[in-house]
Formats: sequence, structure tokens, C-alpha cells
Amino acid sequence: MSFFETSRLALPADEQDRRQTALEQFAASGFPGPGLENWHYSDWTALAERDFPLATAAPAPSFTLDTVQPLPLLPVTTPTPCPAFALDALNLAFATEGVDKTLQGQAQRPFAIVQQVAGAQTMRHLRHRLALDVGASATVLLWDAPGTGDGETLLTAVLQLELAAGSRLRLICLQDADVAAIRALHLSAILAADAQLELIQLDFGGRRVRQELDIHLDAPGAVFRQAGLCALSGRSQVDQRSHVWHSAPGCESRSDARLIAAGKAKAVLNAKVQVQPGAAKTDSETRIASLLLSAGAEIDAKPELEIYADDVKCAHGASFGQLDEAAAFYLRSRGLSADEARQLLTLAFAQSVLDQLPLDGLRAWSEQKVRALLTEQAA
Amino acid sequence: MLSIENLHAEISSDRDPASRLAGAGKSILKGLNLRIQAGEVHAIMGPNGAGKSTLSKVLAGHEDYIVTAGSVSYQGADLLALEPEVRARSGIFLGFQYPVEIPGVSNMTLLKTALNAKLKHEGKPELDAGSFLAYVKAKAKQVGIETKMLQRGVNEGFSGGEKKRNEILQMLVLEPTLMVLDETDSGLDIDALKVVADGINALRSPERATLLVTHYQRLLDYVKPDYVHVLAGGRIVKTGGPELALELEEKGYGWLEAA
Repeated sequence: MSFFETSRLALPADEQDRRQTALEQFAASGFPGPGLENWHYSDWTALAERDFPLATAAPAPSFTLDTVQPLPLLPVTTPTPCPAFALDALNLAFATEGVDKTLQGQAQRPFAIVQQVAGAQTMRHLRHRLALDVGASATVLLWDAPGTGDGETLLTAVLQLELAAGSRLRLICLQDADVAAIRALHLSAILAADAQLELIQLDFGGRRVRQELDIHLDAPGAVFRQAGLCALSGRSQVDQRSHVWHSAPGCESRSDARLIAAGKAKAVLNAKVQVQPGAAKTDSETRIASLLLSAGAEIDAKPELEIYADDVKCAHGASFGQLDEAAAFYLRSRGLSADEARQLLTLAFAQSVLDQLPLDGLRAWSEQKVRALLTEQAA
Repeated sequence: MLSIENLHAEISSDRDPASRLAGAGKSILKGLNLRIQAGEVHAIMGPNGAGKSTLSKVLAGHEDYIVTAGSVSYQGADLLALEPEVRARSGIFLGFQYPVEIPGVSNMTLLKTALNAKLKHEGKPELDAGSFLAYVKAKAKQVGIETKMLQRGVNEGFSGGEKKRNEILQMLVLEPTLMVLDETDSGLDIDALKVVADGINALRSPERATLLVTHYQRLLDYVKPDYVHVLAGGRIVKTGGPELALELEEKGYGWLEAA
């Protein structure tokens, strides 16, 4: 049976009308693929022929970070649609739970949202809303963790962030899904005056992963800083799209993305900054650096700028490279093995992002992940 | 310690065209012979393009060059059969003419990893963090490198002189048996040249040997060689004592090539 035939029978019991409408809408548009302008590099249309029963429960995380406190999942009521997301209707049809939290004051301990799918050939849909009150500050880890790993799983998640004036959120999105995982995440953020969003993205796994960011700098003084590391091996495909809207004067956005692909992996990043009329004194910089570790790997990087205002400072750039053989020889001439030299150089490429990580345990773990890229490639 | 017999080498044409050196397949060394005993300092001088840098890179195992004939034996072993890192751990140190900048790998990480690799190779235990730091700090002081520079990426943003001092620092930390210095003196002011020379002299001992590849006689005022060789056309065409370097400084190389 096709996806739509089976999924109709599996709609959650609550709010059936709303869910029914959403599912019909999704059935009409279908799974996204290159037919959509934003989906040039990924094709999910074939998923319509698959069958994904709803997962019943989440497995326990494969490792714990004892310094973080998990945020509870609550029932989803009156969700706000997110039309920019091609899988939004699917998510609206099936999402029954998600984090719904307003944070106040200065949180000392980081919070965590853990996303997993249990079983094989199952799906799960989560819808989160996270708000920060005026002047609040917090660190949140959104962790897309490996499941049981014995079959294809589908997870969609929507995270809607609202940052009130002067609030500050440090969000770490860690994606370490297993080799058969299909993942789609849409993250939107609305920043009020002088609010600050620091986003650190780490992607290490997944079979097909789509991540979308829509960041709205809606009031003066809002700041968005992003550091992204996508380090893939095997047959992982991670396709990221980001759109930063400068809609008010005097806002700042900075993005430093590092893409590494080994084996037959594919990393895609389309990063767009749009400066709206009236957003004078915008200060924006987008840098994408790519490192190809094998002939079979693919990286597509596309920084974009659209400027409709005067008196702005905007920069963007993308670079591509392979491991520097001269540097590798230099290290070997000092006694490091060829593998060690290549690992150190790969790690060096990722370092500017890893340095941003506030949790020591996570940083060390991530370094091991980057080092392992070359080993996995050889295997 | 080192015995080079009838060495022939050419620029490799194995590599893919993008990373291949200009002149792939060109033969550079054409029957070079050289013997270095423990305790000796040898200087190799010669005109541009004679093969001086090729010789140092062949000794270190650089993949851009392939040996087509001849042999190199180091401490009784077939050097050419060893990987570059094994040569390094066995005590061969190449001081680069153009040290590479490696952002993201700190000098400290390189020194620690390199020293540990050597100690492990020798079957000795690694230094603990405190002892290592004290050891490196003392060596850094010797070459006038501030400790905070060690936290930076390898040679990252270093001036030409700082890069050469850093080469000497690595050499002092690793305490090699055979030092091969490829024009380490080029582009240095007198102060930096003295630092480099002091570093070499500090390691001079009856168990160690040095091979200095240089264009100029200047370095040899500070590091007295036992032998001076002239490398021209891919082979050693003349060998003498320190006085030969002075003669070359005065007359150039033309008279040798003509001979």
C-alpha cells in the first residue's frame, strides 16, 4: 500500500477534522522533490510509495548528558501552520506531542529536547514551541538521536521560537540520526528588539535529512549568529536551507558553515539573507567552507543575498577544497602517521565551529565524530 | 649514519594532474653519492636548480619525488623503504625551506603528538602534561618564541623569521639524530640566523649529524661544517672543508660547472 492509503487509517483520534484536512492537503502536494524551487538537490517523491506506521514510543537515548535537563513533551493543541515547510501539512496531520514552553529568567542548566523514533519502518511527528520572556536567557540542546537503527524511520519536527526583547537563546541542534533515518526539521524564529539567537548546528548522520531555517529579525538590534558543522560519511545526505530576514534596522546576522563529506555522502547548503526595505545598518556575513574527502562525495553550497535597502554591510562567500597534501606531509615529517595527519587536518577544518560548543562533553564527543569520518570512509 | 649511493630521483608523474608538480618526470638527482658519519656537520651548496631541495625531500620521503636508482641507508636500514613518519620517528628531521601554515592545528598539539609518536617508537612512556609543558616552554625560550604563540595554529600568521624559529623549536623538542635543514637560513636577519645557528649547535653531539643545505656562506660562520659539498647537475661535483664555502662565496659556481 502507498503512504497515503495507509496513513489515512492511522490519523490520531483527536481533532480529526483538522488532521484530515491537513493530510488531504499533503496528499495533494505529495512528498517534495526537485519540482519545488527550494528542493533542487533532494528528491523525496518516492517516499509516497512507502509505508510508515506511526511509532508507538521513543527508545531511550543512546547516551546521556547528565548536565542537561530534558523538556517534557506535551499534547499539541491549536498549532500555528508553517507554510514555508513542504512537510508542514504532514506534520500537522500527525503531530500529537511536542515541547511547549516559555522560559523566564536566567536558566543555569541547559535544557534538552530529545527526538527519536522507535522501531523499523515507522514514523513520528513532533511540533515544538519555545518562547523566551523579556530578558530571559537559556541554552537548549535539540538532539535528533539515533533510534534502534534496524530500519528506515521518518521523523518530521517543527520548532517555532519566539524571542522577546533582550532575550538570549543559545540553541544547539545536534543531528546524529542512524544510517536509515529520514529527517525533516523546520525551525522558525521571530526575534524582538535586541534579542539574540546563537545557533550551533552539528550534523553527523542520517540517510536523508532536510533542515530548514527561517529567521526573522523583526526589531532593531536583533542578532542571529550561526555556526554549522555538517560532517558526513557513508551515504548520508543532509540538505539545509536557511533564510534570514532582516526586516528592521540595525540587526546583525553571521553565519559560519563548515561542510565535510566523505564516502558517498552529500551535503547541501542554501543560505539566503534577505534585507527588506527600511532595514538600514544591516550587518550580515555568510561564509561557507567545504571540504571533500573522497571522489564519491558531493557538496553543493549556495550563499544568496537579496538586498532592498541602502546603507547595509553584507558579505557572503563559499570556498571548496580538499585536504592540504603539503600540510599532511609536514605533519608526517614530524612523525604523525598518514591517518593521524588527515584526521588532525579534518578536525582543524571543523575547529571554528567546535570551539563554539559550550558543553565540554559534547565537544569532545563531536571531535571523535569528525576524526571517525576518515575511518568510516576506509571501512 | 647516512650513506647515499648513486642516487637518481625525478619529479613524480604519478599524482593527479591538479596536484602534480611542474616538470613531472624530469630527472633531478643523477647519481649522487654522500656519506655522513655520526658527529659530523655537512654543508651542501650549489646553484639554483642543482637538486639541493630535492635531496632533502627525498631523504624525508616526500611523495612528489620518486627514486629511480640508487640506495640510501640510514643507521643500517633501507631508508627509502620507510614511510615519512617512520623516518621522522627514527630520528630524521627535515627543516623546511617553506614551513607550512596549518590553521586549526595548534603548535602545542603538533609538538605533543610528534613527541609522543617518537617516544612510543622508542618504547618510552609519554610525558605527562606538566612535564611536557615545562619541557616545551624551556625550548621555546631558547629560540625566542613566546608561549602564547604556541597556542596558535602551526605557523599561522607567523613571519618568515618566526616560521624558521618554529622549525628549530620543533627540532629542539624532537632531538633528532640526523638534522636535514633545507635552506633554513634563507630570508633571515642576523638575529634570527643566530637563533637558528644556536639551535643547531645546541644539538651538535658525537651521536648526531647535520646536513645543511644552503645558498650562502653566512650560516657557516655560525655553524662550522666539517665538509662542504658542491651539488651541481644532480650530483656532488666537489667536496672540501669550510674553506670551499668561502671560495664559492667569492667565485660563484660558474667555474665548477664549466670544469
